[in-house]
Amino acid sequence: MWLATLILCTALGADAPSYTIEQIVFEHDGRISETILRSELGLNAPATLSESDLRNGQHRIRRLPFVLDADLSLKKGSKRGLYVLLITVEEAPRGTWLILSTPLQLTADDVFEGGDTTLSPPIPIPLYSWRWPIGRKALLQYTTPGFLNYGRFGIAERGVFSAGLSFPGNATPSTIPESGRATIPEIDFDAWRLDTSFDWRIRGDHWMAVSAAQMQGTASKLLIAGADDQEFDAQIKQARYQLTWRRNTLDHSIFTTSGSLLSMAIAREDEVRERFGQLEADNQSKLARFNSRIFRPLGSQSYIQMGGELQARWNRFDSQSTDLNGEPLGNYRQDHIHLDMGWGRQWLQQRIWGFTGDIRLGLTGSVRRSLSEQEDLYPDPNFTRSSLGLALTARSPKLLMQFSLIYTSTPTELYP
Amino acid sequence: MTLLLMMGMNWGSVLVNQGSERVFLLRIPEYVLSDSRVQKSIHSGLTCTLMFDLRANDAFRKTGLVTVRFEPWDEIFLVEIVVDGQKHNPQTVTSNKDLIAWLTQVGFRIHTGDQVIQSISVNLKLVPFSEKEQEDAQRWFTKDLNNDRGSLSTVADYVLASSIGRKSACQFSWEVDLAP
Repeated sequence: MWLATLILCTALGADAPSYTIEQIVFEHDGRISETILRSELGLNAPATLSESDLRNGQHRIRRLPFVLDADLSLKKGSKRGLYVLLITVEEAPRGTWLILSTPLQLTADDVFEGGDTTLSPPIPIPLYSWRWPIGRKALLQYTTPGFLNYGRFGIAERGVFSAGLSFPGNATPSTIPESGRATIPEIDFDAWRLDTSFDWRIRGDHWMAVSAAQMQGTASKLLIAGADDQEFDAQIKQARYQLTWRRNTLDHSIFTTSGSLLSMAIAREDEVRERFGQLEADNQSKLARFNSRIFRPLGSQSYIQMGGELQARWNRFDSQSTDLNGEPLGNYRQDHIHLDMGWGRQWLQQRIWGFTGDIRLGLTGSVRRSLSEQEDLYPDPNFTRSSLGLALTARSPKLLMQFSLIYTSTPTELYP
Repeated sequence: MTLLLMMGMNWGSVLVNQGSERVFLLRIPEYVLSDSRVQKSIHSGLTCTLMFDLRANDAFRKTGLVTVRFEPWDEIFLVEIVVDGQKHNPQTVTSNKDLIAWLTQVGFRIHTGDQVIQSISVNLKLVPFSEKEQEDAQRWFTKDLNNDRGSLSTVADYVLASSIGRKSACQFSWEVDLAP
């Protein structure tokens, strides 16, 4: 329905007016350099600009990491017919509290519990992200859930350069909640990882992005992407093609997005995940006390993803399992189809005691099919697991809370 | 997005004597037009659009929109109305007070045909000057999400991005009782 109305909008907008802008004025609280804002706006005065030009400029301002919102308005200029473009910028808050929760797991027929129905309580995971501008062009961000530190540095200059570094923190005791089968005293993330990216606005709405990652040890990757934003029917479309180099191989993928309605990614990655695989194996070795298996990714992963209100994703993982001494036990393939649908749109956005945000109800479901060459891997090595759940998300610029309830009908899998 | 549900409030009336057809006259409530976010958008000098969607049952759905643009130099409001695909004559209003008065009084003629409708759900949405940037900003933050599946930093980025939302359009809903 809204699409039909948007078409009407477009019809009305056919004779959309243009404005002669003699001056551009920014109104903000001063933590962001005006040079950055002007550079990202991509508009100069004096000039005659259409509403579309102004909309695209606003769009570019809003993509800055320091900016929460930007509103435009026109004021009278020095002469009749001339306008001053006033851009009111709301800068992002310096800190954000996040409270996530592991899913509340309802299990119908747990083979390890002799058919009892089990219920695992959710574990809240508090995160705090702290952002602090450095000078007027740079931003430092720090996030920690306790067992891992994640820092990110960004600087804007004809684009945005950012670098992120994650490094180990204090180990956090945690348990696997499902039926209390095992307790994991600690999970260490024992490698640092450095991510860098540079989004460069070449001209207008044409973008170039380069990013690279290096993990302690050998793993590294380089990604080059081109992006092009086009406006259509009052929505922003973005097309992106990217190439990724990861040591011995080349990945390629195409992304297209259309506002919030649809995005799609088709990609295939073939890689030798030496260090990444080793890290996962290292972490899994700490879980091995109850399953005596280590899974090492063999290195191919394919996925199709659709985004927007409906998110669908298909992943295929191939891995090889070994015992604790590294002796191969067999190969293992897992197909994972995941659906996630946002529902109810934003239910609430009201300023209540300073809270501005929305509450959203989502439907989530997944089907996971595993094939194993090992007959002793699980009671049933080849199984299909399906689950369906509801997710409730409340968010505001300063707080995000996420809770979900998942019902698993065939939980014949060790990892919840 | 603000969702105000004004159940059972009668914001419209029915004109019966239009030949053999029933015509429903929809009026925009004053509280919608007086809302600070609507006022801010109307006074921006750029085109502001109010879209409405009427539903009574599966067989009855009508759409329409009102566009308002404030001209700072003449201090007038240029108003255009499209109802059910038909564009009405543009209007010029000279003050905000007159704009609210006119829009709350003029009403939009909605032809219901020969259907007997007891009540209609009205959903009215303010389309801001630019509506979809929130998602795009989030995509900017999560642009590496597709390339770094599984790392905690990506999860943190995603969570951060989804927690950063700009104020979006506001939306109003109410029920119109058409029972005689």
